[in-house]
Amino acid sequence: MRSGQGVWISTGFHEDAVLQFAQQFGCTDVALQSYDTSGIPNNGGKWEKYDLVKLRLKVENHGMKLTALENVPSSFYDHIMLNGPRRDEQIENMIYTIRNIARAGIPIFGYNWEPSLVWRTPYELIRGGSPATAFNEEMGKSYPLTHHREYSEEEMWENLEYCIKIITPIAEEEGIRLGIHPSDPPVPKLGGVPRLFRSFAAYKRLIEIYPSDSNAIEFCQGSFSEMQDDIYEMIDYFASRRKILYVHFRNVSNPVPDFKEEFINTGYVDMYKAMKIYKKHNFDGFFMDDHVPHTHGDTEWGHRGRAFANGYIQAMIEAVSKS
Amino acid sequence: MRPGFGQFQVASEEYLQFAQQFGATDILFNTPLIPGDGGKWQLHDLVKLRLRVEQFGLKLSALENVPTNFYDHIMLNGPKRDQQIENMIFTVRNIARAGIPIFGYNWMPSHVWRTPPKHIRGGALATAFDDSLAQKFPLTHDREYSEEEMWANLEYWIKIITPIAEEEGIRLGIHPCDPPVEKLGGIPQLLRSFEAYKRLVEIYPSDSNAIEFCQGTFSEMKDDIYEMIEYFVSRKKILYVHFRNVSGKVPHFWEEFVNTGYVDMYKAMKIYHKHNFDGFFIDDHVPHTHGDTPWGHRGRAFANGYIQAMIEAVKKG
Repeated sequence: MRSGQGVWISTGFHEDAVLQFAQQFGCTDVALQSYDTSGIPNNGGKWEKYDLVKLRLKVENHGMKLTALENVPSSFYDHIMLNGPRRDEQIENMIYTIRNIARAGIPIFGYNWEPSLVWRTPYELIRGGSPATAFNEEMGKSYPLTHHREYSEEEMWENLEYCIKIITPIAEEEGIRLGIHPSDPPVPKLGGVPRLFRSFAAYKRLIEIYPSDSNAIEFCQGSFSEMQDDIYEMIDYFASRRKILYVHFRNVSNPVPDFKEEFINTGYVDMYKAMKIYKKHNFDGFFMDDHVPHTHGDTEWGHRGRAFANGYIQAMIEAVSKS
Repeated sequence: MRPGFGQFQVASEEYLQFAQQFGATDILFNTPLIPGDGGKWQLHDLVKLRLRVEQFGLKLSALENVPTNFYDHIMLNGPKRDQQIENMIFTVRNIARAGIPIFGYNWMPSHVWRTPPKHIRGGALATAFDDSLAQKFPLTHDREYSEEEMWANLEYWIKIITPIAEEEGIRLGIHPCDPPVEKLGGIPQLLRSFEAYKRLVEIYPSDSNAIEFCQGTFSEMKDDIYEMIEYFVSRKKILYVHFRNVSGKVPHFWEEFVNTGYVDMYKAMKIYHKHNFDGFFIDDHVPHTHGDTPWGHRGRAFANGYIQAMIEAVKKG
């Protein structure tokens, strides 16, 4: 169990300074997070190997390992998620990109099944006036359609299954592990699109579509904690089955329908109890903060907040490893 | 066992809001910048300091240090000793009456000593000490002082101030001499060993004659750190803890991140918990990381996250 840092790749974001930060504060693993299309040259909806190799070497220059690449731009695979007219072309491109990630020496690719990504309603103030992201489902229900029409649960599952059955054997062949992030917030539908990965049952179904080490979970413990299922039971179930690739170790006030993010040690989840479950199953991945409440005087990326979360994570790993 | 923030001199919103947001419950000021006319502190200035901290939902649990010129003649038996003792009695009474329950100080006329810093993980900059360089330092005061006279000065003071502190209901504690070597600049570093602290607490056995337990400095001593924690915490002699780590012991060491030094901090934390220690832990100081503020907001946030998790883990474990 190791301490990792998510690092954005985006124009204007100084990833070298953040990599130095992560190294100085004791991280061994890095997940590069592509939040927009600007970070890696987009060659017609796919990524080239040499660009990915350069990213890996950049991380290694700071004495850490580039263990995971998190997300491609939604425009790389939105037609796959929604069965749009360009689905076949996007599948070809994604196969190309995944082969390149693997061949660049990056062992994990995490993605999501959210055509409109993560949703939040207005911020709420938590301890000491720190603004934290929040979600209110009543407000969420008032949002307009995001993709022209209502999509059904059935067709979203069909699209997913089609993709998983094609991509998993490719990933196995390349020796890369793929994992899907939960739909955050885990409510039934937003903007007309079902949020497939909103429950324990949905993840059980996912991993049975094609049983393989390459069909796994980007375990955002924060989003799993927002679900109505028991968080400790879910960690136990998936960690014992080696389905957890890495963990977003963050905390929230309570499950849906309404919740806000919290500091890592002020949410409803007992993080020590959670960490002991990973340890019990000899989990060998890394933990990262994902994101943190904004504190006064911090940078937009949240250096102080992330330093705090990292110190907490490292102590928890140490404590459960020694106890 | 609670997390604290400290080592700032002003009660600014920047520091106090930071401490509040990052989950501290206790605050400590180091040599607060309040008027010190005539070598003493006034009650109203101390009360204002406490109320300012309470505005942020925090508790002002300790003051650490007064300016050295408040009591240098006490430490060295100078001509102004009696006057400084009167003034210190005045100040200690005022700290107590302002509602601040702990006063920590040190017995170092020339403070903490360091030699040039060292680069540690990722190029972070850490303070360091190499005694072979330090022994070349010139005399800092008029002459060489002997071990015996420094003990005599300390005992004289402890016997006077401890009954006053008891009367006022305040607890006093002395920080170890950092670095804990025999002598620097001609002055013995008196509180440099397990033995010295055992002697200190026996000068006047009282809850008000205790220790400002800088675990970092105790770790620099040649004695066993776990044994020292055990001994003093079981005797309720530890007022609060500077929870930081170092690479090794004297004569040559550098500071480290809280979880990269030689001390097993989990093992240490379990000892405090075993004896139901009811004080707080602060980071004290941290290695300087790239892009951080001079006070070290990022480094201190990291150390405090670590401290809070360790407290939680030993309580639940």
